[in-house]
Amino acid sequence: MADRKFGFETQCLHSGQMPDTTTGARAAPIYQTTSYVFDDSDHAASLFNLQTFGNVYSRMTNPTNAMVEERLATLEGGRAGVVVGSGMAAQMTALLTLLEAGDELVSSSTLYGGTYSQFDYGFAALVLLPISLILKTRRISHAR
Amino acid sequence: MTDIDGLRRILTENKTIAVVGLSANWWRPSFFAAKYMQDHGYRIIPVNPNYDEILGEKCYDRIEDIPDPVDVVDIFQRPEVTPALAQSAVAIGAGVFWMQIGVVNDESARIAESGGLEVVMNRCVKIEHARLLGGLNLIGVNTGVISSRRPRWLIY
Repeated sequence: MADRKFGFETQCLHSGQMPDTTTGARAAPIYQTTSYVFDDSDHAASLFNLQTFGNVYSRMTNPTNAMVEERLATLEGGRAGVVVGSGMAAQMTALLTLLEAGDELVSSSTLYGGTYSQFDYGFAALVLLPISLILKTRRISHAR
Repeated sequence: MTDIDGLRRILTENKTIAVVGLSANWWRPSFFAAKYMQDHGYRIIPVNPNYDEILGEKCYDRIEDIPDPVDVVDIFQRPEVTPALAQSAVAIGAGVFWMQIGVVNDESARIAESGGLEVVMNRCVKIEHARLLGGLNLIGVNTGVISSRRPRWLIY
């Protein structure tokens, strides 16, 4: 039997989150925790070895973030999503994942100033690091 | 078998998995998947002529050598060798013939189905377990699961 195809509205409301196992709550709670407990040292080891799934620390994963990530991935028709705390963090995360040393990043100079500065000054400064990520940023005065 | 309910039923009703082509090397995908399933309550029966024991379980040379009942025969082998393995799975009366992700052979699927087995092809047991019974939902993966029912299984 084929899986049911859900509409856009249903995906907006419900993808990425199942009713809470313990309380039955339908909407996702906001998990205001930094840390998570381990059952024992073996459990901790298998989490760090990526041999089991689970939360370790909210800088890496958090159930509320995971819900938003899956929901956005669903709505975009993607495989997975990652959310971060700011637009600057988002573009840095995306670009440092996609780019390799020696790659060129071509960007319009009419982007938001913070974005452009990160490319032109922040990334350029990485060239100076011993483990250098060599990015050449190039100005394009007008992309028509 | 590709639908969520069917795959979830297979993974919850069956508890003994014979893993054909299981490697003892911890970095191999077969070891990763089998260890994961073992950690989640499944009995793993290794099938590989190159080893005596893997993951603390006695390793058998061939599927037919397994003395205990087998629910799922899970295949980590090249597609062209799978028809014979499907015949073996039928011969021992297994319930499910599961070909891992990347293992596609329609003839094997026909052999297993006509022998009364359910067939899953081109899927990973670990990915499907984590997708449908909890795990992948913790890291922002598009699991495709939308439900108004409270999960009756443990979510990690």
